[in-house]
Amino acid sequence: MEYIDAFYNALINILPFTNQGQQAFLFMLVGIFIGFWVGILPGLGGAATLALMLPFIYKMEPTTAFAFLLGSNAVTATTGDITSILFGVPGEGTTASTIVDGHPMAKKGEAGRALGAALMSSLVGAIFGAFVLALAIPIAAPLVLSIGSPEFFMLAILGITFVGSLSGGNIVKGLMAGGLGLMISTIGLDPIRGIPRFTFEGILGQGPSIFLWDGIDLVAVTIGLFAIPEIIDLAIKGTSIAREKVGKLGGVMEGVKDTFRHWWLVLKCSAVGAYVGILPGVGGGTAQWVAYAYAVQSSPNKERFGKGAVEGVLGPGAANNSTRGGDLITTVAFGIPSSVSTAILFGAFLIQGIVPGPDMLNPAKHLTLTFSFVWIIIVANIITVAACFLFLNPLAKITNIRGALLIPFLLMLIYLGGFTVKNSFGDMIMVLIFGTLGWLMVQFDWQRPPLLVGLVLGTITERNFWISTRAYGAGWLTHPGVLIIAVIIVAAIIYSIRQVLRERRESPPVLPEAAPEPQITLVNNPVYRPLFALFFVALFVYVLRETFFEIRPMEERAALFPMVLGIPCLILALLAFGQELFYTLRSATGSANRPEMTSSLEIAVIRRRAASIVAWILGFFAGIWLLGFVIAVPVVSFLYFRFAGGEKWSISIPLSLAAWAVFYGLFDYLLHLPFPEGTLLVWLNLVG
Amino acid sequence: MKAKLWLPTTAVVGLVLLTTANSSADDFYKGKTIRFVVGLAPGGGYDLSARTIGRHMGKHIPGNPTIVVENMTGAGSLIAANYTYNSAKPDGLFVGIWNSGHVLRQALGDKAVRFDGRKVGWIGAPTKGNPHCSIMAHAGLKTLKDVLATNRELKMGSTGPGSTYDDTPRILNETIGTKFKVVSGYEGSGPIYVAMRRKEIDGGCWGWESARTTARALLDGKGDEKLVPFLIHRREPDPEVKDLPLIPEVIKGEDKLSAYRTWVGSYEFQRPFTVPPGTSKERLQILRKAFADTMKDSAFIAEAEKSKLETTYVSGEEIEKYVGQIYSVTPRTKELLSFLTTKVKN
Repeated sequence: MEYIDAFYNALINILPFTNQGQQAFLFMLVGIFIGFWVGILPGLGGAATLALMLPFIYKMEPTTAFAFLLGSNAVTATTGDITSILFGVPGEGTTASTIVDGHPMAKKGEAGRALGAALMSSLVGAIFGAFVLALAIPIAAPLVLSIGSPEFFMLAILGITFVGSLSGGNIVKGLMAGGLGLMISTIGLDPIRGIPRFTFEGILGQGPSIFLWDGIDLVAVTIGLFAIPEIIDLAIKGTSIAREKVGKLGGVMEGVKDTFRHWWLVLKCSAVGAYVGILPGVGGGTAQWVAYAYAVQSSPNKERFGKGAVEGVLGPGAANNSTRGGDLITTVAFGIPSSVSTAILFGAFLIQGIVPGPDMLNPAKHLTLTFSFVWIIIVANIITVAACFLFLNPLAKITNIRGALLIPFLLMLIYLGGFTVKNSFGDMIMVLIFGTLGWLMVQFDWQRPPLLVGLVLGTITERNFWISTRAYGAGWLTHPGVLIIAVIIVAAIIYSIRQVLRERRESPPVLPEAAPEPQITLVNNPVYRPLFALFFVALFVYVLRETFFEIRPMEERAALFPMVLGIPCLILALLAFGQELFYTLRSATGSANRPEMTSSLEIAVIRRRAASIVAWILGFFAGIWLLGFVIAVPVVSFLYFRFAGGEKWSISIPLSLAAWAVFYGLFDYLLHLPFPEGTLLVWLNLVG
Repeated sequence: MKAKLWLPTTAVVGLVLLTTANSSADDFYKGKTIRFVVGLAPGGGYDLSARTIGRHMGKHIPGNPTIVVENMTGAGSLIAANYTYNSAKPDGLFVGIWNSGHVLRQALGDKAVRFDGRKVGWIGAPTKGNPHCSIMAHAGLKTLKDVLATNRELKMGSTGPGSTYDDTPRILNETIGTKFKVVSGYEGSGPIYVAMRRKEIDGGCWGWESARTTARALLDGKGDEKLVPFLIHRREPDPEVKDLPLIPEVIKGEDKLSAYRTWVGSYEFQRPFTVPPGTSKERLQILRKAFADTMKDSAFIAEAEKSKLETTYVSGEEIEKYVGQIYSVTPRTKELLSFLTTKVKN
């Protein structure tokens, strides 16, 4: 009875019907407002914002304080989906997976449907996660304690295997991309003895090499892999983001209905998210991809994925929200924060003089507050989703705006997103490097998601492998949990291979997997395909050489993981090379049934536009470097509008001023991001 | 219209006159902005203390400058440390906040650390570290004596190289003959606490100032789930640790003790506030005084207490002394501590 009372009072405490509730509600709205923008803007992360909000809670009472903080934290994953879908730029690190199918939907003219599906599934996920929080707190301890490091390692391997089968038609390329992701995760100081691995000190010198010590940041890679190819594609097409007009079918309500059409998928992915959230040290960054892989696995026709399958939006949409509830469980129940955001929330507990742990479940102590967390997550998401629905149709119309008007804004967002990773230029360069890689991967039909999954799970895999071996010797291999997961892994591999074989027998795959319509292929000379595969062969040869001769002599243990990984990767790269070579030979003799790239554009026009957009992308970077962000943003935008877009003065000037106003007002004036002065200005001694 | 404009115009002109006419040291900071550059990410202890101090320190500096806090993360704050030393302008408007452990690594000859701790301008530090070791009740051991007597290999959790979790048990193995096995690779304190409860590891060594709040649930635990401290660096009044043996007292032998002292020197001033070498003595002095005044400021103390931010003021002069202690490393102690440095080929 007192539980039900507490549950009820918790709701009353955050609704504006009492004096105290009014205050909590008001601050929750402020928090939601902040979280809304943090989610939408790629440059701002949820955890960092939470840290900035912390000082404001000193004078608040507990319910209000948590309404303010959690209100903000609960909605970033919801609104982050919006940016991912509309622009192909991840709004948050945890919403990258909604790009894979959400953005192709936008290109098909189904932006409204994708947004509706993302928001509705986010709401379901958030509510699911919140109830898991309410119900699981009493059983959280055994749940968490049942997963040791060995099981954790196996779960990571399971995740990667799932993604291996994501690749559908081309399992070799998919697995190799996953391996490449794992390999990229080993760049930097190794987690065991702190040996620098693949930091290119000999080539780059010590400064840039130290930058690589922290490893390659997921946000920069995601932005590069996905956003850059989309921008190039948008510029070459010379159209708006949406290339087709779909009538009512592409609308928001259709997406909402999709959520209920795939009800079980949404619920299962919510469960995946909540469970991953409970695991210490893992959060939405992993949950979204596991959910995505699950959505692919459970679909009868996998080839639709990556080209705008609504299930690919629903799964991650639900999972990245339900993690938030799961994430809180260990903090509330044990006083053990399991992610960066919850570590900051833990600070909030301390400021409020509350010790997380058993007191949180005691009706005489803080049970009402604990239940108010549940309600805050639910109410904040209902408010956000309701507010978003008011704007969704106009938002979806953004995809009908001329590309030329959007491109400068998109470039600003990607560079800003790269810069804010560590407030340095290094990650902007990463965006460019991975942008090039991503574009080439699209050109030659390599799947990008496995690379990201490998990168996300890489460190976890290596860390838990080491902890297991160190803590249990070889004995961990016989833990029951490990054996069960091993059986699932083997079953998953056999299942996916059999499926590929069956599909091959029934219908040979015809279309490349990258885009809803054939992406414009610039490099249609088939000679380049094996060459690109050969690049990976060379890369892994280099990796193995480096591991064997450079890392191993310094520290045996640091070399093991890249070594064990490098050999299968090299084999896969060789296989892929063989495949591509065979393909090229067949198409050279004319027997391949390679689909004709039907495009209305002349190849010369395409080449010219491609060269132009690449020049603008690099030019924007150079502009930022020479003039600093605050000057470069309006200047380069203006130049682009006027000369690349051929817009009228009356459009170019106000739009570039708008870009400047948004940029300066929000990021410089309000948020004090430490933008470096332009190098040119420093040379000319114009700034102090 | 004219009347409305008049007031702000005079104000602006007045300000400009004030700042240009009176550029004596006292007024240097008037209207200026000081950047606090934190080497670690938002949300952690470094960031919290920099921001809390940043909110109060401005009013103790003549001219009341604005203080903004920025994060320059990377390589466990080494990037910020190198930046402070090599790239930041020594104009008294740049304050770098980074891990004092880099001073030790530099003294031990780590090539990646590109500064000389003896030339850095030390403003002061808001806290001291106090390494301690705890063990879970499920290990069946309660005191240092038990730990030394047992034949079992005790597994101590660690986040990774360079952390207190990693260094302390290794140093104890070298100096007092414990048989700790360091299990490295956990993502943070949270996962280590979970692993302790799961019996994957037996215990760990980390800062008591952090353990007393973040491991509270475990310290108050029951039965097998209770965390028991058994060794600490410096005496503390908390009931869990007030009677524990102190590390410097249990280490025998001059070489070993001096190696320990070199290592622990960097714990005597944590999260130090620094200015680049070449910053004028005058401005360093202003900042040192303002820092000391902030530490005594009742509003600051109240805020720090509320957020459980442990504060022990260490003056810039004291830090210089500890830095001297770290750099007085002998070849013998250097050898004893050689496992602490990152191997960078050069």
